[in-house]
Amino acid sequence: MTMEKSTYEKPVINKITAGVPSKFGLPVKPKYIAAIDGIAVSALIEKYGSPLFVFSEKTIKTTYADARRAFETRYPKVQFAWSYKTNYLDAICSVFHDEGAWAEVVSGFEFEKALALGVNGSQILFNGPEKSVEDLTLAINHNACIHIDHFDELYLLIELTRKLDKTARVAIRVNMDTGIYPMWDRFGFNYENGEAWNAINRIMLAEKLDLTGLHTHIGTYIMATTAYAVAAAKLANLYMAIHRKFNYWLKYLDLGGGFASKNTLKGSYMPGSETCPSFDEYAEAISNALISSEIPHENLPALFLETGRALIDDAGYLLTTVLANKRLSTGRRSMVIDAGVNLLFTSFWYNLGVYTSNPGSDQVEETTIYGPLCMNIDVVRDAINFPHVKTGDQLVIERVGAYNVTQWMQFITYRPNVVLITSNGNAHVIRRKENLETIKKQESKIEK
Amino acid sequence: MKKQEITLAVSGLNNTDNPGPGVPFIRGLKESEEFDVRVIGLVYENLEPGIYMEDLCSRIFQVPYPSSGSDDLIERIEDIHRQENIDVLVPNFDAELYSFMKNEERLLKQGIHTFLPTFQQFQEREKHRLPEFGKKYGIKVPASLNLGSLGQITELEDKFDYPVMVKGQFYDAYLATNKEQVKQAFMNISAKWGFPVIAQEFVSGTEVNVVALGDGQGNTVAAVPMRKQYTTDKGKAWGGITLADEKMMHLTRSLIKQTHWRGGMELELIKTQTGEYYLIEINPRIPAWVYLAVGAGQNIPEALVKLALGMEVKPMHTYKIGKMFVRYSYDMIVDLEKFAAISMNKEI
Amino acid sequence: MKIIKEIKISDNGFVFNSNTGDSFSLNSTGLELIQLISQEKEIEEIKEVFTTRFDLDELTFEKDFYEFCSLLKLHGIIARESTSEFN
Repeated sequence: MTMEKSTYEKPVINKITAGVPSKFGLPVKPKYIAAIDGIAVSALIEKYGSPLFVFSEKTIKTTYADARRAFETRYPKVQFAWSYKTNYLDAICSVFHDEGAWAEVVSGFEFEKALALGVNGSQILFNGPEKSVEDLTLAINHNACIHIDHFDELYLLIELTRKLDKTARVAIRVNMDTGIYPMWDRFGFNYENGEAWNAINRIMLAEKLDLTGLHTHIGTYIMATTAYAVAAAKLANLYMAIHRKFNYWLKYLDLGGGFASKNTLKGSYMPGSETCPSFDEYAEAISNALISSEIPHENLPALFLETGRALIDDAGYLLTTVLANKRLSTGRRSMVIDAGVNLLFTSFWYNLGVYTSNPGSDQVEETTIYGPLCMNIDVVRDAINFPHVKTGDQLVIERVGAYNVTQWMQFITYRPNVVLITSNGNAHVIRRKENLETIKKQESKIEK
Repeated sequence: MKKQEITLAVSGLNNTDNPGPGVPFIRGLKESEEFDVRVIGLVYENLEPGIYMEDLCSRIFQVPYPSSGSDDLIERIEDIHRQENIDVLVPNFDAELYSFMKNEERLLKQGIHTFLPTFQQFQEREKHRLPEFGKKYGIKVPASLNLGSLGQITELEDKFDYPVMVKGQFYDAYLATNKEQVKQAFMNISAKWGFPVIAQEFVSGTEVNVVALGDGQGNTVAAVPMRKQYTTDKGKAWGGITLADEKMMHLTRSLIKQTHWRGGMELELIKTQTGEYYLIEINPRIPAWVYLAVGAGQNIPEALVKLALGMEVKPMHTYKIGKMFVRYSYDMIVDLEKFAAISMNKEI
Repeated sequence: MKIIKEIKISDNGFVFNSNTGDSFSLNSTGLELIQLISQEKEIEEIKEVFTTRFDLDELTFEKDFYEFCSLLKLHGIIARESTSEFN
């Protein structure tokens, strides 16, 4: 007769730190993520390798629908423009475009990418401080909305439109004090010192510049919805001033992006999932400010939004595998996983959520999670209460949809597969894992 | 009269040299003529002195920090509630308030009563909003400038003379007497507490404080003003005395009337040589020196519990003037078993 | 390998070192393991006990056993040998 064997738990001894209140308290039962949109984590890794980026079309669509509902139920004319820099994978951009989003780009490269995806040039908002003569020519020829960042760009546009004998549709980016620190006064024209008003006057005098809107982007990861109300009110003031002086109504006010995602910023006390305002709260602040401004109701401009992070962060996961468990010289627990800061740029400012893919052990211990790079800076989490896992166990890092697949680095290894799970539950590779050929074909040796 | 039996859950049992208000709060209630309290201590750490004090708590439970997520904290409270049937819960840490304010209704549905400020009251008193707060409610506050970068030092120098107070959003304050010290303080604070860093005009005078209780309808149920007679190197009162100061009382009543403040609060004020009052800070909870108010005749803990239970409380207008408190430290002798029990079982 | 005499192990997994004043907590397998070690059982014997009782392979046991022992050594629960000897 064989005896039923008990479940094994790794033997652990922890020093009890005696203390009065500090930051970590009673450990709580760790959560785990076994599947994404119904597909098991193990099945995904088996088929597409590890590490692996996985995006959920379902999450993208529900998040986008939530954002649209929040704004469209409060304001008559709303248009979203997908922020390419947060994630410009073709398949991801296409989901947003199919849902009706325009494109918001910040470089010639992104502009070309949007055009290649079939976005009509007139539905591209061209932002950023870096626009070359070629980029601007492309934008003018495609009738894009050029958001002017500085006077040099404004004068370059005057010169170019004369030369091309074509009219450019333009807006200016306005920076302002909204109570957010630091103030992003490096982009655009300042509101408070009158620079924005001067730029507007110069544009109105130019024969071939058609001022269509005003743009602002007050910062990133803004938790205070009141700041958006201030920004909207200031743009509304300019909008009315333009009407009074030139008897002219602009087409749109673009409030930019910067809505926070549910990730937890390093150094913040409460988890981001609790303190992050909802789309409803942002929408309430912005819509109220515009509707209660002196703009007559029948002349309310379209409201443009370029939110990126808040629309895509939640839809992206990074699946990774445990390479090793290690004790540091102090006895502190550490762990090496096969995805590092080369793939997780956002780990520099977020305490990313890392979870096991099975219920496993309840026993947690404070752990440092290292990536696989042979570099001291490769730390995914410097302190996380984490259950004990074995080599080969699969983990899930959540909320990595924004910025990681645009800011990732090809450093000492290939960038991994990226998979999209479509709304009907099928997984598709949307960016293939790199190989030696990918790298080599860009290079050339000097023939001797 | 037979006393009403209630079960009270209280946090902040860290009666150290930077004390939480839990222990004095419980002490106040134990002296209540109306309640017979059974106390459940909620602790975050295994060395909070309240765990080891004889006859203070019937049960002790360790709870997870709010930073691990409100849900984990609230679920633990609900779990404790199932065993102990909590009538009133009084959180005593600033960091807890957010979680409990957010879950006020959820707790009430299960019969756990709290009496906390509203989100709006909580937010508008935040340090970096103090100038707007002062303007809105007609109270003098020191001029201040929210700093987002060191580039603003010129602006600061245009606005104020040295010295200036440089403060973090949540904690920390340095007195800076020149540009270099401002830079130093700015770096230290922004690294720890983020932006903005608040530069405040230095108002010289005497620091005075008020502990007060608002009923949420605009009435001041209790208020006792005090001057710190001695502070520790952490700036905490080590001795204090109740004052007869009609101006401070008026200011407190006017503030509570306008804000409809709900719950306990502490006003930190500076009284200048010329007799003007500047509001420096509002703490959205009862301070650790609340027992002075009890000793002076206003049992604020009892009144707060009555308000939480929806009972009528008549405003208290009088208190003994010139009552003092002197804090002292005391070494308790305790057995290892209690430490082992809270460390291993997370409850006693 | 010998647990120093100042160590007291309670049945609930609480460990107290009366020499240093440090205290520790063990999970259930940790408690079982330290009890076997305190009975001065050899690794082979302990391995036999563990692999019979638990769903566990020998290599995992060995890895976890040595990690546990190094923590005991680090915390001063078992006597440290001189680190400069490599015999």
